[in-house]
Amino acid sequence: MSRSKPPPPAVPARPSQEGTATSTTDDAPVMRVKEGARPGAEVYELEMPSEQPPPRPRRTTENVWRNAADLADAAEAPAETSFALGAPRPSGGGDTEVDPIDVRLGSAPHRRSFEFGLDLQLDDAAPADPAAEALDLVARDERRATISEPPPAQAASPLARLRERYALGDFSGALEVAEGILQQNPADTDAQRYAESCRDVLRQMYAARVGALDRVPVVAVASDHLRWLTLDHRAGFLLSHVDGVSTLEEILDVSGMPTLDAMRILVELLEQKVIVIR
Amino acid sequence: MERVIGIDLGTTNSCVAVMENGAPTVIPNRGGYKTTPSMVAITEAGKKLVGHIAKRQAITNAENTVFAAKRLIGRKFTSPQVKNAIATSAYRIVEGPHGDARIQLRQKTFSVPEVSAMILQEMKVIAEDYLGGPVSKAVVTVPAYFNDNQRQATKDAGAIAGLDVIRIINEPTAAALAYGFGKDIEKTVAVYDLGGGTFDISILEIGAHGVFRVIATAGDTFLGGEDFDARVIDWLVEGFQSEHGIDLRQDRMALQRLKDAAEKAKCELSSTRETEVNLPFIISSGRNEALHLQRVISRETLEQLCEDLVERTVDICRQTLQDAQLGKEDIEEVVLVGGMTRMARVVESVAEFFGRDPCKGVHPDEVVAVGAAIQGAALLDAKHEMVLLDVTPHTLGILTAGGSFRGLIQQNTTVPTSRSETFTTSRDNQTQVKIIVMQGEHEKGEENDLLGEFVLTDLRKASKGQVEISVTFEINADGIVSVSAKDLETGHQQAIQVTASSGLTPQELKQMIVASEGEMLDRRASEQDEATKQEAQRLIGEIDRLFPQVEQIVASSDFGRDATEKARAILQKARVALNKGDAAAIKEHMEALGRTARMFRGVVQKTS
Repeated sequence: MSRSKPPPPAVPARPSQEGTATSTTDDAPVMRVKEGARPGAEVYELEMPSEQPPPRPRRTTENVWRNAADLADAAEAPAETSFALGAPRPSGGGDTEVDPIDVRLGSAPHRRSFEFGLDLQLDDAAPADPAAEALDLVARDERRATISEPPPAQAASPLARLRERYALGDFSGALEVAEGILQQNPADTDAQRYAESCRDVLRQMYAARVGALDRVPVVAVASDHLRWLTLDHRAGFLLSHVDGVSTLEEILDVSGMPTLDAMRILVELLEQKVIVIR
Repeated sequence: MERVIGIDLGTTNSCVAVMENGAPTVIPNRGGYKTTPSMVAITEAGKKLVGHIAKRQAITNAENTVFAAKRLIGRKFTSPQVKNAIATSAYRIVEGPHGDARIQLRQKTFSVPEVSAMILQEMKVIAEDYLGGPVSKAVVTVPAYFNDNQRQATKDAGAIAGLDVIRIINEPTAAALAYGFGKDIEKTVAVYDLGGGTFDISILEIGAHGVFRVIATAGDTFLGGEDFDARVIDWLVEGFQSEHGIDLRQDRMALQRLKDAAEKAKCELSSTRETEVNLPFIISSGRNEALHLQRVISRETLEQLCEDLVERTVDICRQTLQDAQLGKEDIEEVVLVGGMTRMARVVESVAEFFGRDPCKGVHPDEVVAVGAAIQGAALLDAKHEMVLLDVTPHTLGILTAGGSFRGLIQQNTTVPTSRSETFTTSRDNQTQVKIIVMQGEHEKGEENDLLGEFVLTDLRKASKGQVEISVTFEINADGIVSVSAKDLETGHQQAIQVTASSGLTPQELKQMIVASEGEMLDRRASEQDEATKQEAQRLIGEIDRLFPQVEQIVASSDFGRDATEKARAILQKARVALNKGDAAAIKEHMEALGRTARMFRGVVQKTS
């Protein structure tokens, strides 16, 4: 049986908890764990190098990041901006030029300052007195309603939520939203593009964490203790295929699940030490 | 040395055997199993899976997993068997360009011989790995009721798989061959074959000098071990539903696990009185709480659940004996074939019906492949005594007025053979007759298989019954059937040659063979790369292990330090190549790794 090769080494390895960059070359994109993110929440910052090679038609690691960067551009654009995703953006001089790389995915302060500049100005002008600050917070909510500020995140349109999550580096969350949109409207090209990009990024993240797929996992928990673990039936199903003989690749093949889901579950099982690689 | 393998291409499982030093050997697959599921699947990523791995995902990827392709091979799309398969299969069966049945898997359409070829190719690879060299010839078994088209399709499947199928033999004949191997017997034998998906009962006459004659054969192509598994699944599902109010059948993953567990439990109950089915996290409840299935099943429960299935096989045996006008006392031996015959209740029922204990000398899963291997060896060795004669699997004849079938060459006639019979016109002033050539055992023509037709013209105008036409059937040594019709008065003659068709044109077959050869080369190259990688890992491990000792031993000399530095560099380069998965680079470093390992071993040995 043919085996697929392990993921290319340029893909960042599992990011360290300190958020250390794990890129292998100077030009490669850098992925960091977003500061303050919950452990296991898969929120990453993506920092692109200042100069990137032109896009290549073949799907490579770089292209995945490039695609992610294009989408992030769109995510950062104001809602009323009308250029298409990944399309040339109007420059200040009236000419059009492509600006796909000047992006920091998940750089939340920049984005907030763009969308909620008014709030921040008010914050800056707030008095030092804590009581006054508290009063101002109450007043701000009221003011927001009166001056028609953008609605809170919960009420935002699904596409806006998708963009926000994507920009935050919450790719699994963004994928969830994108799939929700596609369930309602399978022809939504924006959602399709975001979903595809999220899958690519997640797939590489999981591949980096799982490692070479020709290795054989074994169950590390005694069978009579298994039922005391907190697993769902999908994890239980995958676990039932861990027989000490089948490779990770074979388990992915026989799972019948979308590869991404199966890889995510395998990563979880490995991280929970329910399975170990022999 | 040229070898011929024997392949039992089963509906549910396949098995391969070969003769070694005069004794048959069943060859285990890479997983150590002597049978391989006859299943093929295409994964979401487009990868082809064959055998156990395909079976393990058969329910979760049901639309893209082919099982029981044998039920479709060589059949027309419009045949009742194909219609039945369409109704019972999750995979899509479509009509081929020549009216044959084809299978659609992930937007690609496969002919049935192509699918069967994937299984045959797997068996070929198993044999080649075991024998350590290429295998190109095989004897393949088919059910006794297979017609010429089905047999030809099986041969074509072999050709696509890179095998020259030198003989197709009947499964019960192969079982009888294995049973009679090394014995000088003349007996009437019943072969009771309860496999994973089909049941067959055949009565054979084993004569002197290796003549095996199938007297009668019957069965049910939709009765087998899977039905027994289904009963266990139902029992487990109902128990779970009454406890938790959840129908596990609605969840494919749960159903896949149930299917595997049911089959395992059923097999275990052949040797133990009770067994536990334990499936943790089988499903999540509405409150996202994982539920577990844990239940003990006893042999008695299994027997109760499956009593009617066993009874059905006995009814078919009874009917077959009646049709063959044989009594139970005429049967001198009963040979059990198929994994289901390990079930104690099945053995008891068979013994009860035939009034004798079944033969215990043959392995039910392996006996058919063993028989095929015996026949293969016999065909290769001209001096070998055991020779099976080629016989016609079905009666050949023509359709006559009123739609009735008139057989000219009877079933099981040894070939080559020929036979003529005279017919007359059925209408007044009839100037032409249509000769419709058919194959089958039914009196009604429509129940049999059409092989071909032609028209004999320019007959003399006369009252019905006045013009006589001689029809001759001839089968040559290669199994090619010729049919001719001759006006006995004028000598005017027409003839056709009937060639069995698998549903593939010669051009299609050629293309499939070429494609399959390419795939095989890729597979072998990939396996070679994998083996090299594993060897590289082994050598790196060994050098790593010896490194501290060697370093210590040679530390005092400049030459030694230089050598260990070089070794370190070799290790580093090899590791980089391994991490990149660069097969060519790994190969490049193999020689240096081998040399280093030898040197390290030598240094350690000399000083120890």
